[in-house]
Amino acid sequence: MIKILLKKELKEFLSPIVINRKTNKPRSRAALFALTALLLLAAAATGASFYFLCMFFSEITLAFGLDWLYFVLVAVLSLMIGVIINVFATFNALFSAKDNDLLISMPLKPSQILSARMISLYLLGTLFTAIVWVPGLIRYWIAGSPSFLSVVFGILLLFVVSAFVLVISCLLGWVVGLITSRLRNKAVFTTILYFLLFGLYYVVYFKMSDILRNLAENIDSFERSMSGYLNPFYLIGKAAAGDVLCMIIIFCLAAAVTAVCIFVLSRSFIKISTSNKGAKKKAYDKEDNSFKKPESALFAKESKRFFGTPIYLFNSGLGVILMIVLAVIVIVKSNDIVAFLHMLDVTVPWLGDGMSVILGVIGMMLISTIAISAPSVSLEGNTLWILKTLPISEKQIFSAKLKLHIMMNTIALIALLAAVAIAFRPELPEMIVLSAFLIIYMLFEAYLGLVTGLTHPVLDWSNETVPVKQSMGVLICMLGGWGIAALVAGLYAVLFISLEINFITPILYLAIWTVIIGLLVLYMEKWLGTKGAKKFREL
Amino acid sequence: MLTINNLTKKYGDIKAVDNLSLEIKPGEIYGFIGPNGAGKTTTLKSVTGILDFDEGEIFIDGLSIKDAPLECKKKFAYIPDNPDLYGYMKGSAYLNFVADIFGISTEKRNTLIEKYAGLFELTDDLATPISAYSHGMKQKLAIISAWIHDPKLIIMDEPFVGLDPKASHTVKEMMREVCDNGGAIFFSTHVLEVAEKLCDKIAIIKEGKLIRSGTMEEVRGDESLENVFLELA
Repeated sequence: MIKILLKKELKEFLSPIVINRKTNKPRSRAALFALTALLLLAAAATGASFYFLCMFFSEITLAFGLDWLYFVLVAVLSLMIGVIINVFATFNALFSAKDNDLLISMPLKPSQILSARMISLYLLGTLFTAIVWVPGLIRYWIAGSPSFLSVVFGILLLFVVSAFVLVISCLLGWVVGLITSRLRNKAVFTTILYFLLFGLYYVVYFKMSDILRNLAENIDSFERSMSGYLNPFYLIGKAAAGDVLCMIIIFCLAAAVTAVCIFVLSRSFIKISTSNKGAKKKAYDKEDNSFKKPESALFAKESKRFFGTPIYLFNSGLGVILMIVLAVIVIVKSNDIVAFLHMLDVTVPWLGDGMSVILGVIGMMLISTIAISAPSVSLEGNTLWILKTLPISEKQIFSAKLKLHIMMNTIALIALLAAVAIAFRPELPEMIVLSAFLIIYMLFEAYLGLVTGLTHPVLDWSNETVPVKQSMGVLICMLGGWGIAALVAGLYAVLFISLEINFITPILYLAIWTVIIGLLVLYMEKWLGTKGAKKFREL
Repeated sequence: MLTINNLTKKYGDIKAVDNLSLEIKPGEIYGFIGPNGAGKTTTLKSVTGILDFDEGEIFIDGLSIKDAPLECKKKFAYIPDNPDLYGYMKGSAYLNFVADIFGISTEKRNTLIEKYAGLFELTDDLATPISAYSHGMKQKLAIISAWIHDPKLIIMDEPFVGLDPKASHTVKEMMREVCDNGGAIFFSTHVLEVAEKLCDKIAIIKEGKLIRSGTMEEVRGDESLENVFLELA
């Protein structure tokens, strides 16, 4: 029975990659290969940043023969990253899946439903954990003195650490489920939790240098606190360094806690999945009824969905918060930045000259993380019939989706541009071109999101995680945006640094890109009015 | 009010609807019956513009759904077999959304919401998110949203599924009221007793083809509708 359920879970998990949503047929081998390569590239880029962190870990541990301690640090980092990324996907997949009612009504044990879902989540968690654990292993193989057993155990431990990631994510997801089942406004609570958890991640991230310095200074006491066979991290560390007994113990421990986790969750699965208690009725007030124009009504609908769907708000709106936070930091640290820029002018003049391009590229990368329009078509899901039977044009529907994206981005962009003006103090023409460039790029991302959302729709999802996190449209929008940012930066490096051309200035270079991207926006606007509208009608 | 001429809709090589023609006049309640997979929902979805069709023409109040989709959509309301509504909205917000799209004034929508929500005993739940609604409550809300803009034609796919007996009775009365005021109703159903008592005309579809249509007397003769249906379908 679990096999059948697992097949269903894996089908949904892999469908954005394996199935071409345009044709609803499996992708060709070439397309599958290209897509896999793209995903691996993104994973490798992220893994590279963790590799540098592991370099530091290796310097303070391996040099002193503390191989096991090195793996303790890598394991802590892997667990933290894995859990943060996985916890809400776990909650949504376990307790908020649309087919929970259907499955519960079938002659299936809760443990069977949970086990199938957990295996699917385990695979997802393994992928996220691997982004940290694999660079950690590679670093050890390069800088350490790996034995045959440590290589084998190191690889096997990826699956053990992933099991702990799964268990912690499930238990945290279970707590979230228990709390939200007693709340009237689940969306607000879940969203706040999203941001708190991610805020914690960023606090740790920004404090990382302090943490690492403390770690280096107090490595002896850290070693003592981590030692002991009762400490799972110690067991992981020793096992990764090639200790057979520790490997057996940690393997059994992982299996045992996973079994306990399934047992505990099974006992409250039905209760949490179907509970709606605490939802006190609010009285209907006809004063809330007010007339709006169709365009405003459509925009209000898009806004309600954005602010009422935690995973959508968090994943697609996080970039807005990040940009505002970054803007505040830049303003607060403006004096330091000015001093730094003076130093750059003296030491690396070409970098100072191209500051507007560098700022433009950073802005592009930040804007690319705000994918609000990209999943908006897919999120219509089963309710698509409403838009298709109401007397509204595709243009009106698209405008509302674009407007929400543009409005949310505009707030963040204004903050960012204000910070640039205060901290970097560019000259007026430079500021005007940079502003125009980023505004046009923001429009480009809004249109690209809608276009890819229409060309790669996912309407048959069972929870919002699929269109918001796993749809091809979102992926193309984010990675495509970073790709264009890399192109702008790379071409700048070739033209101005390698070839040292001087007949166009960096400002003119940005202005040319503004025109090119603007033309692409116009093309997409035209496409939406013709082919895009046809595609929407055919959905 | 609704004219379907030689409608053909294919899914790949399979004809889901094959050369179907129907005419529904103002004042008529037109029932559409047939076995599962006969092509009822496909026909209704083609009429409402949800599905594009391969051949034929559909006119709503004289306007082609292909040539003037927005004008057509202003004249009808559609209630699907499974009322998937915006779960993130409250019931009242959804009704206001539909009313806004149709440009219904605040006074008129207040009156109609009060009237129909009262009839369905849904007033107390209008401030609740739709995600917390039962199937029947969603169906009631979908029905209210259809009636809120006073459409000339109402197209319904299995409207009685999930409704309690009292609500079913209310819907039947509302349907008759629409027709008495010059409107028309086109709906599919598997409940033959309801069709027999409620409909002025009826059409039976099988494997995409219209196999019989006309007034209730023309279709069933001296037999019960159930017997005719079992013989034909």
